[in-house]
Amino acid sequence: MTRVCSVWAACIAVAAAQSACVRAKTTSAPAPAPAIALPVASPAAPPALVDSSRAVVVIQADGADVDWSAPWGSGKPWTRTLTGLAIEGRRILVSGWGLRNHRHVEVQKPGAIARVPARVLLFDVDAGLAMLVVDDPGFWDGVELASLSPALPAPRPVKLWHAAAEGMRLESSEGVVSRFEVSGRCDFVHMKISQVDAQRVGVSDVVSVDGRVAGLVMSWSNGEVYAIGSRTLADFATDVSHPPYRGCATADFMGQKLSNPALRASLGLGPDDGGWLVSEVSPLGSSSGSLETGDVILSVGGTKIDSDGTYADPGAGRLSYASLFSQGHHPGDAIAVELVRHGERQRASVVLKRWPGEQTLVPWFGPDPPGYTVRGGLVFQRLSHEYLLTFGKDWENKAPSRILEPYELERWSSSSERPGVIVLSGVLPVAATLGYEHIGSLVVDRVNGQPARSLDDVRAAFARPTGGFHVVTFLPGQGVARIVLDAKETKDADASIREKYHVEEEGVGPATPH
Amino acid sequence: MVRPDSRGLATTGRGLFPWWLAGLAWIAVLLSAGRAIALDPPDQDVRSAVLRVEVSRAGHDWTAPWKLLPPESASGTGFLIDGDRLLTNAHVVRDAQQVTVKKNDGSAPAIATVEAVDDDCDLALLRVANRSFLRGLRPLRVGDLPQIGSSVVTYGYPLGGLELSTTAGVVSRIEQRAYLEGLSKHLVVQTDAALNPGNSGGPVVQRGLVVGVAFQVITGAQSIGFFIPAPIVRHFLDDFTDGHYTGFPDLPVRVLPLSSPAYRRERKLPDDRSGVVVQEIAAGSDLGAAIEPGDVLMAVDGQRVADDGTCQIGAARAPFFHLVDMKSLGQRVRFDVWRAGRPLNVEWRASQFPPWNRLRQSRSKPRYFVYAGLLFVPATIEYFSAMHPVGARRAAILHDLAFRSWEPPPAIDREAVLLAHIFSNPANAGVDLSVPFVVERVNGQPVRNLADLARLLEESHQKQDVFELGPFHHIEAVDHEQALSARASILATYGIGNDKSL
Repeated sequence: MTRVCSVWAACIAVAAAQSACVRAKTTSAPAPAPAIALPVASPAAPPALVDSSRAVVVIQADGADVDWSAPWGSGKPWTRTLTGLAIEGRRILVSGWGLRNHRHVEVQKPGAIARVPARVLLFDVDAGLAMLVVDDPGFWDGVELASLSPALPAPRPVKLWHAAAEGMRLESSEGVVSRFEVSGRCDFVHMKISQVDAQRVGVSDVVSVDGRVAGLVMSWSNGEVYAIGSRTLADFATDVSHPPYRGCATADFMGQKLSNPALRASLGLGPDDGGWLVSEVSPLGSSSGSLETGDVILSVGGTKIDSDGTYADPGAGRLSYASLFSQGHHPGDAIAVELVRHGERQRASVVLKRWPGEQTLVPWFGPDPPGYTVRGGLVFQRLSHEYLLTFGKDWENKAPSRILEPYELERWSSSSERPGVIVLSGVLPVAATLGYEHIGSLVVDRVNGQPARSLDDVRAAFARPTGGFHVVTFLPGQGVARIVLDAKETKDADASIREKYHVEEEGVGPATPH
Repeated sequence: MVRPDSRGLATTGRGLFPWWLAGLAWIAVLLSAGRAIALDPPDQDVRSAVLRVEVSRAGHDWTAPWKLLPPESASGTGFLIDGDRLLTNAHVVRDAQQVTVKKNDGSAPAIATVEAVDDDCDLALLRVANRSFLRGLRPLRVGDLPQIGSSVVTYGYPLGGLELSTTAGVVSRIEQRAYLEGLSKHLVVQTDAALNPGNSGGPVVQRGLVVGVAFQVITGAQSIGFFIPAPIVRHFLDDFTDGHYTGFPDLPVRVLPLSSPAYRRERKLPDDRSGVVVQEIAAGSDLGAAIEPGDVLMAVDGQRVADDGTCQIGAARAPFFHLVDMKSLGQRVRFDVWRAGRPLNVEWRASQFPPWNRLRQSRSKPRYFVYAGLLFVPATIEYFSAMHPVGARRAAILHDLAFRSWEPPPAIDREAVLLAHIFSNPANAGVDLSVPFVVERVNGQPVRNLADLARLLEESHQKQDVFELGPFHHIEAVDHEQALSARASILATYGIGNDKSL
């Protein structure tokens, strides 16, 4: 049982699900948020959809993932069949990460042969939500547009609509909503659906109750499906329709329970105050500047937080405080927080920011288009979670500890002095790299005396050799601390690298169309 | 692109992170019957000096450090040397609660005691209390490093039978390799003579002299067995002659072979010179006063170091580390280095690097401290291997084990202390976390090591003792008075004999 709960921990877990879906289409699930009782009440009845199956469309996507161990080439091409939901404005909602690295997308009506091209209007990798547009008016004949209803009550049976047989057949299966949890990069409330036939579930399958759309499938594992609720989907659709797109936002701090009476006493808290202790505030996130390590959060947006970090949600039961920041809010919104700091009650306002994924020290996704720099056969890349996956299934044990360390301990932080981690991922053997054929997977410290914290740093430093040499130094403890290349040989190597290995000096691979 | 193992390049005497954590498929062996190549016919004197060693072992439970694991039996081989002593492998007698030795003449076994043991070189000396037991046996004499390609015969008690078994083979290679029982690399000799479980500790003989002690194999490979060569055996025996064992020196440095012409030019090293480039020196090591990162290490005690880091050792080539390995503590080592474009002679007295000694826990009893039902242990490789922490916890502990010695500030007496378990008790009610955590501060004071933590808590005058835990600033607290009054009941409830072993 996870006893320490945090927003970030939840985010990490869903991130694992993301990668599973993107990479191998295997299943995985978010880690459970703190235990939540079953929901108690139902909100007002939503507008009914006569038959939600008529709003279900089939998406055929082609793409190619990046091979981060050789980022200059395109990875293995793939074709995926996803399910989507037709909504107002001739748009189609898609959940999950199935469209990551897509190149071309088409849609069809279930059972129909004809496919028409679709444009990806927006793909929010943090939210795991995408919006497609189909311009061909003919496609929309006979398609019902789904109305997105507010959250639905649980526990109760739901139907899952799945595009089977490469879209030629629409299948439905049943499940039961067992509880709600807050998880994912965006701290969205997810429905957990149990008793599902795992053979008949796919990414972005449509979840319906009594003919009304209740949500879309994000991920699944061991017969349990995590689905994003229609309230969140409706909010996303509205956001997309009113540009500029604002996206989701979270509080971006980690914290811990305050159920230990001795700890409460040491912090001067009464037994009934509740509260959630702030352990780390991401310097890049929403709470930076307004919350501090050691703050005890008593309420968020006027809702009292109990000492286990939850509050009673009228529709979903006990939910993590994190959803009070995220749910229904967007970057720019100010959330009032009541807290105890240094023994004194205070009020603070957290102005939500969009999570700057690419600016974090170790981003989840590698750069798009895939970035790398080759100089004289040395291949430099920015450390990302996607790069770590190149160490294989057991990457958490296989990747060198020095490379894992910034990911495990510092990935949410970043600063202008240290915007990223640069790795010498390997060496393409040429004359200039003679003697270095066997090194690689090393965290770079400096190039020619200049700190190497981005690929731009590397490129700039290689433009300024010292005394006819290029000197690359590495962080301590990796065995190799410093290597030297001849500046002229390095320059001459570029042509032969192009010829021998078909590698350009800079990563300018195909970008995912957005 | 091939993903190379960067450690392959940088050799080190000790302190390289343990290979078994890297998942290498290695096991320590105990030997078996092989092909009968009658090159060096077994001599009856040799045969009778080789004994079967049987051990009842009960190791420490590193997850419950006051306890021993249930006893199990193991067997290996030992042989008689001068001074009525038997030589065997350290891993044969690891955690031994009782050792018996049995001759191959059908006589009853005798009880032996472990007189000296060094996990680092995987050797141990046994003594038999009953002097008459060994009467009539001729002790074996230790010879020299054998020639590559020369024939050797092994003697031992591998699985598959109870009688003494001999196998023969040739010396395939001589190089430095990880000794699995310790944390170090030393010289090893590879042979194709069949070595199997039970052979461990058995003599490898050439022309009547012991040229090595069989000790480990590569599993999954064919006919790749290793023995501890005579020079390492002699170092172990010589060290013990004054009755006080000190061990091998550490050379806490990492080097890169000088195979890059550009690096050579940048160092302005003339073509007629050779050596390796010093990459890292452990922080706080006295070696730092003699050599510096960037130095080209050209010779050790006048022995030329080749560009790949090897020296001529007899007829074989082996990494220069071996020359330092052969020193006793305190002995002078002379390095010829190339620094700032000119040659330089520097000297260093062979020594051990204290933080690495601290990591070699297996020879001593596990240390721990129990307070308010919270179990604290130092971060050790044994704990790490037993618990397999993951994610950020793994990274935080590994940093201490793998990197701290290579980066400033020096951490000579600093060790990471872990909150490793919580024994439920009213004194820690509400302490609600999944272990392990690194204990960073207690009552605001930084924790330098386990003894330091125990002192901070025992001398505390706080109403609540507050623990700052990492990674990520987790805080817990216990009531001090309650912690003290609950001590006896916690120890009794959980069967812990003592609240500490520091």
